[in-house]
Amino acid sequence: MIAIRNVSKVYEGTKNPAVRDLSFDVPTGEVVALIGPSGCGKSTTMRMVNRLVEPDSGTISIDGEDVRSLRPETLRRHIGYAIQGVGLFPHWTVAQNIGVVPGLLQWDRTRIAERTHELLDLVGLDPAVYADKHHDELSGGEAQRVGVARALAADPPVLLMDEPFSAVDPLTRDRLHAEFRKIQSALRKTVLFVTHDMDEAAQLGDRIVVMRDGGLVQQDTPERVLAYPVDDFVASFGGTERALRRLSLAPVTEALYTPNTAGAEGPSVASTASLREALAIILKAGLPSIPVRDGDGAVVGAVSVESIVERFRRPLT
Amino acid sequence: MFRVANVFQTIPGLAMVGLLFAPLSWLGTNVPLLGRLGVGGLGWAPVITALTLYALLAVVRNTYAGLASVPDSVVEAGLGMGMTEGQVMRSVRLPLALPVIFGGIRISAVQTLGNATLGAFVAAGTLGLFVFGGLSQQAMDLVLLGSITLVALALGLDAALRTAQRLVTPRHARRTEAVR
Repeated sequence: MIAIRNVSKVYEGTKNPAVRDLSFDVPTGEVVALIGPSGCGKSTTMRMVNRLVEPDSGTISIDGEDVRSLRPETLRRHIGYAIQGVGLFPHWTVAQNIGVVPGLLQWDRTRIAERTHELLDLVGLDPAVYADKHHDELSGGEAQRVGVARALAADPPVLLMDEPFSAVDPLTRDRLHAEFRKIQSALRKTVLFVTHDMDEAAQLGDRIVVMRDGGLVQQDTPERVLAYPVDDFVASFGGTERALRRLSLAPVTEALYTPNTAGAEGPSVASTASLREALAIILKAGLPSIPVRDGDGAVVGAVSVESIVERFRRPLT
Repeated sequence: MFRVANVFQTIPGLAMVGLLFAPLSWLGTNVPLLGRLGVGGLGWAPVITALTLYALLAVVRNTYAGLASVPDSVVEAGLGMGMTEGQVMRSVRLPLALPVIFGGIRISAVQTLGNATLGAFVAAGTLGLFVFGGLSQQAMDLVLLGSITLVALALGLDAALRTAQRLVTPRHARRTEAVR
Protein backbone atom coordinates (compact mmCIF):
# COMPACT_ATOMS: atom_id res chain seq x y z
CA MET A 1 0.00 0.00 0.00
CA ILE A 2 1.16 3.50 -0.78
CA ALA A 3 0.17 5.80 2.10
CA ILE A 4 0.32 9.53 1.49
CA ARG A 5 -0.12 11.52 4.70
CA ASN A 6 -0.53 15.30 5.05
CA VAL A 7 1.88 15.97 2.22
CA SER A 8 2.54 19.56 1.14
CA LYS A 9 4.87 21.04 -1.43
CA VAL A 10 5.58 24.64 -2.41
CA TYR A 11 7.94 25.08 -5.34
CA GLU A 12 10.60 27.71 -4.90
CA GLY A 13 9.60 31.05 -6.36
CA THR A 14 5.87 30.31 -6.27
CA LYS A 15 3.37 31.47 -3.69
CA ASN A 16 0.59 28.92 -3.97
CA PRO A 17 1.41 25.40 -2.87
CA ALA A 18 1.54 22.81 -5.67
CA VAL A 19 0.20 20.25 -3.18
CA ARG A 20 -1.33 21.06 0.19
CA ASP A 21 -2.08 18.75 3.08
CA LEU A 22 -2.88 15.82 0.83
CA SER A 23 -3.69 12.39 2.27
CA PHE A 24 -4.89 9.25 0.53
CA ASP A 25 -4.00 5.58 0.12
CA VAL A 26 -3.34 3.36 -2.84
CA PRO A 27 -4.39 -0.06 -1.46
CA THR A 28 -2.21 -3.05 -2.38
CA GLY A 29 -3.19 -4.56 -5.72
CA GLU A 30 -5.46 -1.68 -6.69
CA VAL A 31 -5.31 1.10 -9.25
CA VAL A 32 -5.91 4.62 -7.98
CA ALA A 33 -6.49 7.16 -10.74
CA LEU A 34 -5.35 10.62 -9.72
CA ILE A 35 -7.33 13.08 -11.81
CA GLY A 36 -7.59 16.85 -12.11
CA PRO A 37 -6.95 19.76 -14.47
CA SER A 38 -3.39 20.59 -15.47
CA GLY A 39 -1.47 22.28 -12.70
CA CYS A 40 -3.59 20.74 -9.93
CA GLY A 41 -0.57 19.00 -8.42
CA LYS A 42 -1.28 15.44 -9.53
CA SER A 43 2.07 14.92 -11.27
CA THR A 44 3.89 16.54 -8.35
CA THR A 45 2.14 14.10 -6.02
CA MET A 46 3.27 11.15 -8.12
CA ARG A 47 6.82 12.43 -8.36
CA MET A 48 6.99 12.72 -4.59
CA VAL A 49 6.35 8.98 -4.28
CA ASN A 50 9.61 8.14 -6.09
CA ARG A 51 11.34 11.25 -4.74
CA LEU A 52 11.87 13.05 -8.02
CA VAL A 53 10.32 15.82 -5.92
CA GLU A 54 10.81 16.02 -2.15
CA PRO A 55 7.79 17.12 -0.07
CA ASP A 56 8.13 20.07 2.32
CA SER A 57 6.09 18.29 4.95
CA GLY A 58 4.13 15.09 5.49
CA THR A 59 5.16 11.49 4.89
CA ILE A 60 4.85 8.97 2.10
CA SER A 61 5.33 5.30 2.83
CA ILE A 62 5.18 2.12 0.78
CA ASP A 63 4.12 -0.98 2.72
CA GLY A 64 4.83 0.83 5.95
CA GLU A 65 8.34 1.93 5.00
CA ASP A 66 9.01 5.66 4.70
CA VAL A 67 10.31 6.39 1.19
CA ARG A 68 12.97 8.62 2.74
CA SER A 69 14.58 5.64 4.47
CA LEU A 70 16.06 4.50 1.14
CA ARG A 71 18.48 6.15 -1.27
CA PRO A 72 16.42 7.66 -4.12
CA GLU A 73 18.09 5.44 -6.74
CA THR A 74 17.44 2.28 -4.71
CA LEU A 75 13.84 3.30 -4.13
CA ARG A 76 13.23 4.06 -7.81
CA ARG A 77 14.67 0.74 -8.99
CA HIS A 78 11.86 -0.96 -7.06
CA ILE A 79 9.07 1.23 -8.41
CA GLY A 80 7.91 0.87 -12.01
CA TYR A 81 7.75 4.21 -13.81
CA ALA A 82 5.96 4.98 -17.06
CA ILE A 83 5.57 8.55 -18.26
CA GLN A 84 3.92 10.79 -20.78
CA GLY A 85 5.85 10.82 -24.06
CA VAL A 86 7.23 7.42 -23.03
CA GLY A 87 10.84 8.64 -22.68
CA LEU A 88 12.33 5.65 -24.47
CA PHE A 89 16.07 6.02 -25.00
CA PRO A 90 16.21 6.63 -28.76
CA HIS A 91 19.75 5.31 -29.16
CA TRP A 92 18.90 1.95 -27.59
CA THR A 93 16.85 -0.93 -28.95
CA VAL A 94 13.50 -1.93 -27.51
CA ALA A 95 15.17 -4.84 -25.70
CA GLN A 96 17.86 -2.59 -24.21
CA ASN A 97 15.22 -0.12 -23.08
CA ILE A 98 13.23 -2.80 -21.30
CA GLY A 99 16.43 -4.09 -19.72
CA VAL A 100 17.35 -0.78 -18.05
CA VAL A 101 16.18 -1.45 -14.51
CA PRO A 102 17.19 -5.15 -14.50
CA GLY A 103 20.61 -3.93 -15.67
CA LEU A 104 20.78 -1.38 -12.85
CA LEU A 105 19.88 -4.20 -10.46
CA GLN A 106 22.75 -6.21 -11.97
CA TRP A 107 20.78 -9.17 -13.19
CA ASP A 108 22.83 -11.46 -15.42
CA ARG A 109 22.44 -11.24 -19.17
CA THR A 110 20.48 -14.39 -19.84
CA ARG A 111 17.97 -13.49 -17.14
CA ILE A 112 17.51 -10.00 -18.65
CA ALA A 113 17.06 -11.48 -22.13
CA GLU A 114 14.47 -13.96 -20.88
CA ARG A 115 12.60 -11.29 -18.98
CA THR A 116 12.58 -8.93 -21.99
CA HIS A 117 11.16 -11.70 -24.15
CA GLU A 118 8.48 -12.47 -21.56
CA LEU A 119 7.46 -8.80 -21.24
CA LEU A 120 7.22 -8.19 -24.97
CA ASP A 121 4.88 -11.19 -25.13
CA LEU A 122 2.89 -9.78 -22.22
CA VAL A 123 2.31 -6.42 -23.92
CA GLY A 124 1.46 -8.09 -27.23
CA LEU A 125 4.60 -7.34 -29.25
CA ASP A 126 6.35 -10.23 -31.01
CA PRO A 127 9.91 -10.34 -29.55
CA ALA A 128 11.34 -11.64 -32.82
CA VAL A 129 10.05 -8.56 -34.62
CA TYR A 130 10.39 -5.83 -32.00
CA ALA A 131 13.37 -6.64 -29.74
CA ASP A 132 15.93 -4.97 -32.01
CA LYS A 133 13.86 -2.02 -33.23
CA HIS A 134 14.50 1.56 -32.22
CA HIS A 135 11.99 4.11 -30.95
CA ASP A 136 11.68 5.85 -34.33
CA GLU A 137 10.63 2.58 -35.96
CA LEU A 138 7.67 2.14 -33.60
CA SER A 139 4.14 3.53 -33.87
CA GLY A 140 2.83 5.59 -30.94
CA GLY A 141 0.88 2.65 -29.57
CA GLU A 142 3.85 0.29 -29.85
CA ALA A 143 6.13 2.79 -28.09
CA GLN A 144 3.66 3.08 -25.22
CA ARG A 145 3.47 -0.71 -24.94
CA VAL A 146 7.25 -0.77 -24.67
CA GLY A 147 7.01 1.95 -22.02
CA VAL A 148 4.69 -0.23 -19.96
CA ALA A 149 6.92 -3.29 -20.47
CA ARG A 150 9.91 -1.24 -19.30
CA ALA A 151 8.06 -0.15 -16.16
CA LEU A 152 7.21 -3.78 -15.38
CA ALA A 153 10.71 -5.07 -16.15
CA ALA A 154 12.01 -5.82 -12.66
CA ASP A 155 8.57 -6.96 -11.49
CA PRO A 156 8.11 -4.05 -9.04
CA PRO A 157 5.13 -4.33 -6.66
CA VAL A 158 4.35 -0.64 -7.18
CA LEU A 159 3.83 1.23 -10.47
CA LEU A 160 3.66 4.95 -11.09
CA MET A 161 2.09 5.93 -14.40
CA ASP A 162 1.89 9.54 -15.56
CA GLU A 163 -0.51 9.73 -18.52
CA PRO A 164 1.29 6.85 -20.23
CA PHE A 165 -1.43 6.46 -22.87
CA SER A 166 -1.88 10.13 -23.73
CA ALA A 167 -0.16 10.45 -27.09
CA VAL A 168 -2.16 7.99 -29.19
CA ASP A 169 -5.38 8.05 -31.19
CA PRO A 170 -8.62 7.13 -29.35
CA LEU A 171 -8.88 3.69 -30.94
CA THR A 172 -5.36 2.65 -29.97
CA ARG A 173 -6.00 4.12 -26.57
CA ASP A 174 -9.09 1.97 -26.00
CA ARG A 175 -7.08 -1.08 -26.98
CA LEU A 176 -4.22 -0.14 -24.66
CA HIS A 177 -6.74 0.39 -21.84
CA ALA A 178 -8.24 -3.04 -22.41
CA GLU A 179 -4.78 -4.62 -22.44
CA PHE A 180 -3.74 -2.74 -19.33
CA ARG A 181 -6.84 -3.99 -17.51
CA LYS A 182 -6.05 -7.55 -18.55
CA ILE A 183 -2.43 -7.28 -17.45
CA GLN A 184 -3.45 -5.67 -14.16
CA SER A 185 -6.05 -8.34 -13.39
CA ALA A 186 -3.26 -10.93 -13.75
CA LEU A 187 -0.44 -9.08 -11.99
CA ARG A 188 -2.35 -7.13 -9.30
CA LYS A 189 0.19 -4.33 -8.98
CA THR A 190 -0.30 -1.37 -6.69
CA VAL A 191 -0.72 1.41 -9.23
CA LEU A 192 -0.89 5.18 -8.93
CA PHE A 193 -2.12 6.45 -12.28
CA VAL A 194 -2.19 10.14 -13.21
CA THR A 195 -4.59 11.35 -15.90
CA HIS A 196 -6.70 14.37 -16.83
CA ASP A 197 -9.26 12.25 -18.64
CA MET A 198 -12.31 11.06 -16.71
CA ASP A 199 -12.96 8.24 -19.17
CA GLU A 200 -9.47 6.89 -18.64
CA ALA A 201 -9.76 7.25 -14.86
CA ALA A 202 -13.11 5.46 -14.86
CA GLN A 203 -11.88 2.72 -17.18
CA LEU A 204 -8.68 1.92 -15.30
CA GLY A 205 -9.16 3.02 -11.71
CA ASP A 206 -10.50 0.91 -8.87
CA ARG A 207 -10.73 4.24 -7.10
CA ILE A 208 -10.55 7.82 -8.28
CA VAL A 209 -8.93 10.69 -6.39
CA VAL A 210 -9.99 14.09 -7.75
CA MET A 211 -7.59 16.98 -7.13
CA ARG A 212 -7.89 20.74 -7.57
CA ASP A 213 -5.41 23.48 -6.63
CA GLY A 214 -3.15 21.01 -4.85
CA GLY A 215 -5.85 19.60 -2.60
CA LEU A 216 -8.12 16.56 -2.58
CA VAL A 217 -11.72 17.21 -3.65
CA GLN A 218 -13.22 13.74 -3.70
CA GLN A 219 -12.12 10.13 -3.53
CA ASP A 220 -14.37 7.22 -4.28
CA THR A 221 -15.10 4.42 -6.73
CA PRO A 222 -15.44 5.59 -10.35
CA GLU A 223 -19.17 4.97 -10.42
CA ARG A 224 -19.80 6.87 -7.22
CA VAL A 225 -17.68 9.81 -8.37
CA LEU A 226 -19.81 9.96 -11.53
CA ALA A 227 -23.09 9.38 -9.68
CA TYR A 228 -22.49 11.56 -6.63
CA PRO A 229 -20.03 14.34 -7.46
CA VAL A 230 -19.37 16.41 -4.31
CA ASP A 231 -19.55 19.71 -6.17
CA ASP A 232 -19.96 21.35 -9.56
CA PHE A 233 -16.25 21.07 -10.26
CA VAL A 234 -16.25 17.28 -10.00
CA ALA A 235 -19.55 17.13 -11.88
CA SER A 236 -18.13 19.18 -14.74
CA PHE A 237 -15.11 16.90 -14.81
CA GLY A 238 -17.44 13.96 -15.32
CA GLY A 239 -18.93 15.82 -18.26
CA THR A 240 -22.57 16.15 -19.33
CA GLU A 241 -22.56 12.52 -20.37
CA ARG A 242 -21.42 11.18 -17.04
CA ALA A 243 -24.58 9.08 -16.71
CA LEU A 244 -23.63 7.37 -19.98
CA ARG A 245 -20.10 6.86 -18.66
CA ARG A 246 -21.55 5.09 -15.66
CA LEU A 247 -23.18 2.59 -18.02
CA SER A 248 -19.82 1.18 -19.02
CA LEU A 249 -18.80 0.72 -15.38
CA ALA A 250 -21.72 -1.51 -14.33
CA PRO A 251 -21.99 -5.15 -15.45
CA VAL A 252 -25.15 -6.27 -17.18
CA THR A 253 -25.87 -8.67 -14.30
CA GLU A 254 -26.82 -5.69 -12.12
CA ALA A 255 -29.88 -4.97 -14.31
CA LEU A 256 -30.67 -8.62 -14.96
CA TYR A 257 -34.15 -9.88 -14.18
CA THR A 258 -35.73 -13.32 -14.30
CA PRO A 259 -37.54 -15.02 -15.77
CA ASN A 260 -36.55 -14.05 -19.27
CA THR A 261 -39.48 -12.33 -21.00
CA ALA A 262 -37.57 -11.46 -24.16
CA GLY A 263 -37.70 -14.95 -25.67
CA ALA A 264 -34.63 -16.93 -26.64
CA GLU A 265 -34.61 -15.77 -30.25
CA GLY A 266 -32.97 -12.69 -31.74
CA PRO A 267 -30.07 -10.62 -30.43
CA SER A 268 -28.73 -11.30 -26.94
CA VAL A 269 -25.98 -9.98 -24.68
CA ALA A 270 -23.25 -11.87 -22.81
CA SER A 271 -23.51 -11.84 -19.01
CA THR A 272 -19.93 -10.50 -18.82
CA ALA A 273 -20.82 -7.38 -20.84
CA SER A 274 -21.40 -3.91 -19.43
CA LEU A 275 -24.75 -2.11 -19.32
CA ARG A 276 -23.42 0.15 -22.06
CA GLU A 277 -23.00 -2.80 -24.42
CA ALA A 278 -26.43 -4.16 -23.43
CA LEU A 279 -28.11 -0.82 -24.12
CA ALA A 280 -26.31 -0.55 -27.46
CA ILE A 281 -27.66 -3.95 -28.49
CA ILE A 282 -31.18 -3.04 -27.31
CA LEU A 283 -31.10 0.22 -29.31
CA LYS A 284 -29.73 -1.48 -32.41
CA ALA A 285 -32.33 -4.25 -32.25
CA GLY A 286 -35.13 -1.76 -31.55
CA LEU A 287 -36.54 -4.07 -28.87
CA PRO A 288 -37.66 -3.22 -25.32
CA SER A 289 -35.65 -6.10 -23.85
CA ILE A 290 -33.09 -8.76 -24.85
CA PRO A 291 -32.02 -12.09 -23.29
CA VAL A 292 -28.75 -12.43 -21.38
CA ARG A 293 -26.59 -15.48 -22.03
CA ASP A 294 -23.86 -16.94 -19.83
CA GLY A 295 -20.54 -18.32 -21.06
CA ASP A 296 -22.15 -21.60 -22.19
CA GLY A 297 -24.78 -19.78 -24.25
CA ALA A 298 -27.62 -20.61 -21.84
CA VAL A 299 -30.19 -17.85 -21.26
CA VAL A 300 -29.94 -16.70 -17.63
CA GLY A 301 -32.47 -13.86 -17.73
CA ALA A 302 -33.16 -10.64 -19.57
CA VAL A 303 -32.24 -6.98 -19.51
CA SER A 304 -34.53 -4.15 -20.59
CA VAL A 305 -34.47 -0.38 -20.86
CA GLU A 306 -36.64 -0.30 -17.73
CA SER A 307 -34.37 -2.59 -15.75
CA ILE A 308 -31.41 -0.40 -16.66
CA VAL A 309 -33.27 2.74 -15.58
CA GLU A 310 -34.27 0.91 -12.41
CA ARG A 311 -30.62 -0.01 -11.73
CA PHE A 312 -29.70 3.67 -12.06
CA ARG A 313 -32.45 4.73 -9.69
CA ARG A 314 -31.13 2.46 -6.93
CA PRO A 315 -28.75 4.27 -4.61
CA LEU A 316 -25.15 3.05 -4.84
CA THR A 317 -23.63 1.52 -1.76
CA MET B 1 32.08 30.17 -20.79
CA PHE B 2 29.85 30.89 -23.72
CA ARG B 3 30.29 34.65 -23.52
CA VAL B 4 34.04 34.37 -23.10
CA ALA B 5 34.37 32.18 -26.17
CA ASN B 6 32.17 34.58 -28.10
CA VAL B 7 34.37 37.56 -27.24
CA PHE B 8 37.43 35.81 -28.69
CA GLN B 9 35.52 35.11 -31.87
CA THR B 10 34.85 38.81 -32.49
CA ILE B 11 38.53 39.79 -32.41
CA PRO B 12 40.02 39.62 -35.95
CA GLY B 13 42.64 36.94 -36.33
CA LEU B 14 45.58 39.19 -37.08
CA ALA B 15 44.63 41.55 -34.25
CA MET B 16 44.51 38.63 -31.88
CA VAL B 17 48.04 37.58 -32.80
CA GLY B 18 49.07 41.20 -32.35
CA LEU B 19 47.35 41.47 -28.99
CA LEU B 20 49.14 38.35 -27.81
CA PHE B 21 52.55 39.76 -28.78
CA ALA B 22 53.05 41.81 -25.62
CA PRO B 23 51.92 39.33 -22.93
CA LEU B 24 53.68 36.40 -24.57
CA SER B 25 56.93 38.30 -25.02
CA TRP B 26 56.72 39.26 -21.37
CA LEU B 27 56.14 35.65 -20.35
CA GLY B 28 58.99 34.45 -22.57
CA THR B 29 61.43 36.91 -21.03
CA ASN B 30 60.35 36.67 -17.40
CA VAL B 31 59.58 32.97 -17.01
CA PRO B 32 62.85 31.25 -17.95
CA LEU B 33 61.34 27.80 -18.44
CA LEU B 34 58.72 29.11 -20.91
CA GLY B 35 61.38 31.15 -22.67
CA ARG B 36 63.51 28.08 -23.17
CA LEU B 37 60.48 26.23 -24.61
CA GLY B 38 60.20 28.91 -27.27
CA VAL B 39 57.33 30.97 -25.86
CA GLY B 40 57.54 34.55 -27.07
CA GLY B 41 55.71 37.22 -29.03
CA LEU B 42 56.79 35.54 -32.24
CA GLY B 43 56.89 31.87 -33.29
CA TRP B 44 54.47 29.05 -32.43
CA ALA B 45 53.21 30.37 -29.08
CA PRO B 46 50.92 33.23 -30.23
CA VAL B 47 49.59 31.16 -33.09
CA ILE B 48 48.66 28.18 -30.98
CA THR B 49 47.17 30.38 -28.27
CA ALA B 50 45.07 32.32 -30.78
CA LEU B 51 43.92 29.19 -32.61
CA THR B 52 42.89 27.54 -29.35
CA LEU B 53 40.83 30.56 -28.34
CA TYR B 54 39.13 30.58 -31.75
CA ALA B 55 38.44 26.86 -31.76
CA LEU B 56 36.81 27.14 -28.37
CA LEU B 57 33.58 28.77 -29.55
CA ALA B 58 32.32 26.12 -31.95
CA VAL B 59 33.29 23.33 -29.58
CA VAL B 60 31.70 24.93 -26.52
CA ARG B 61 28.60 26.01 -28.41
CA ASN B 62 27.98 22.59 -29.93
CA THR B 63 28.68 20.72 -26.71
CA TYR B 64 26.18 22.92 -24.92
CA ALA B 65 23.60 22.66 -27.70
CA GLY B 66 24.08 18.90 -27.89
CA LEU B 67 23.55 18.33 -24.18
CA ALA B 68 20.58 20.72 -24.13
CA SER B 69 18.91 18.98 -27.07
CA VAL B 70 18.41 15.72 -25.15
CA PRO B 71 14.63 15.57 -24.51
CA ASP B 72 13.53 16.12 -20.90
CA SER B 73 11.29 13.05 -21.00
CA VAL B 74 14.31 10.85 -21.72
CA VAL B 75 16.31 12.30 -18.83
CA GLU B 76 13.31 12.10 -16.53
CA ALA B 77 12.74 8.47 -17.51
CA GLY B 78 16.37 7.66 -16.72
CA LEU B 79 16.26 9.28 -13.30
CA GLY B 80 12.80 7.87 -12.56
CA MET B 81 14.01 4.33 -13.24
CA GLY B 82 16.81 4.74 -10.73
CA MET B 83 19.83 5.84 -12.76
CA THR B 84 22.23 8.12 -10.89
CA GLU B 85 23.02 11.56 -12.37
CA GLY B 86 26.37 10.14 -13.52
CA GLN B 87 24.71 7.16 -15.21
CA VAL B 88 22.25 9.45 -16.99
CA MET B 89 25.19 11.57 -18.23
CA ARG B 90 27.23 8.56 -19.40
CA SER B 91 24.50 6.37 -20.85
CA VAL B 92 21.96 8.91 -22.06
CA ARG B 93 23.05 12.53 -22.35
CA LEU B 94 26.53 12.10 -23.81
CA PRO B 95 25.72 9.40 -26.37
CA LEU B 96 22.75 11.44 -27.60
CA ALA B 97 24.79 14.67 -27.72
CA LEU B 98 27.89 13.10 -29.27
CA PRO B 99 27.03 13.71 -32.94
CA VAL B 100 26.45 17.41 -32.28
CA ILE B 101 29.57 17.69 -30.12
CA PHE B 102 31.54 16.04 -32.90
CA GLY B 103 30.05 18.48 -35.40
CA GLY B 104 31.58 21.30 -33.34
CA ILE B 105 34.96 19.62 -33.35
CA ARG B 106 34.79 19.23 -37.12
CA ILE B 107 33.90 22.87 -37.74
CA SER B 108 36.65 24.00 -35.38
CA ALA B 109 39.27 21.78 -36.95
CA VAL B 110 38.71 23.00 -40.50
CA GLN B 111 38.44 26.62 -39.36
CA THR B 112 41.67 26.27 -37.38
CA LEU B 113 43.47 24.95 -40.44
CA GLY B 114 42.54 28.10 -42.34
CA ASN B 115 43.37 30.44 -39.49
CA ALA B 116 46.77 28.82 -39.08
CA THR B 117 48.00 30.61 -42.24
CA LEU B 118 48.13 33.77 -40.11
CA GLY B 119 51.11 32.22 -38.34
CA ALA B 120 53.18 33.38 -41.32
CA PHE B 121 53.09 36.94 -39.96
CA VAL B 122 54.68 35.97 -36.66
CA ALA B 123 57.31 33.64 -38.02
CA ALA B 124 55.61 30.43 -36.99
CA GLY B 125 56.45 28.74 -40.30
CA THR B 126 53.01 27.65 -41.42
CA LEU B 127 51.79 27.05 -44.96
CA GLY B 128 50.72 30.69 -44.91
CA LEU B 129 54.39 31.47 -45.45
CA PHE B 130 54.12 30.19 -49.02
CA VAL B 131 50.81 31.90 -49.71
CA PHE B 132 51.64 35.35 -48.32
CA GLY B 133 55.29 35.12 -49.37
CA GLY B 134 54.28 34.12 -52.89
CA LEU B 135 51.73 36.92 -53.08
CA SER B 136 54.21 39.59 -52.03
CA GLN B 137 56.82 38.32 -54.54
CA GLN B 138 54.19 37.70 -57.22
CA ALA B 139 55.44 34.11 -57.41
CA MET B 140 52.38 32.17 -58.53
CA ASP B 141 54.03 28.77 -58.05
CA LEU B 142 54.61 29.51 -54.34
CA VAL B 143 51.02 30.72 -53.90
CA LEU B 144 49.67 27.60 -55.57
CA LEU B 145 51.95 25.32 -53.55
CA GLY B 146 50.63 26.84 -50.35
CA SER B 147 46.97 27.11 -51.24
CA ILE B 148 46.55 23.77 -52.99
CA THR B 149 48.18 21.99 -50.07
CA LEU B 150 45.92 23.91 -47.70
CA VAL B 151 42.76 23.05 -49.59
CA ALA B 152 43.77 19.40 -49.83
CA LEU B 153 44.52 19.30 -46.11
CA ALA B 154 41.20 20.95 -45.26
CA LEU B 155 39.20 18.58 -47.47
CA GLY B 156 41.06 15.55 -46.13
CA LEU B 157 40.58 16.58 -42.52
CA ASP B 158 36.92 17.31 -43.07
CA ALA B 159 36.36 13.94 -44.74
CA ALA B 160 38.18 12.10 -41.96
CA LEU B 161 36.21 13.86 -39.23
CA ARG B 162 32.96 13.37 -41.10
CA THR B 163 33.59 9.64 -41.11
CA ALA B 164 34.40 9.70 -37.41
CA GLN B 165 31.23 11.69 -36.78
CA ARG B 166 29.17 9.10 -38.61
CA LEU B 167 30.72 6.37 -36.53
CA VAL B 168 29.69 8.03 -33.25
CA THR B 169 26.19 8.82 -34.56
CA PRO B 170 23.71 6.20 -33.37
CA ARG B 171 21.83 4.38 -36.08
CA HIS B 172 18.55 6.10 -35.24
CA ALA B 173 19.96 9.60 -35.74
CA ARG B 174 21.77 8.83 -39.00
CA ARG B 175 18.52 8.60 -40.84
CA THR B 176 17.41 12.05 -39.74
CA GLU B 177 20.97 13.40 -40.10
CA ALA B 178 20.65 15.99 -37.36
CA VAL B 179 24.27 16.78 -37.99
CA ARG B 180 25.49 20.28 -38.63
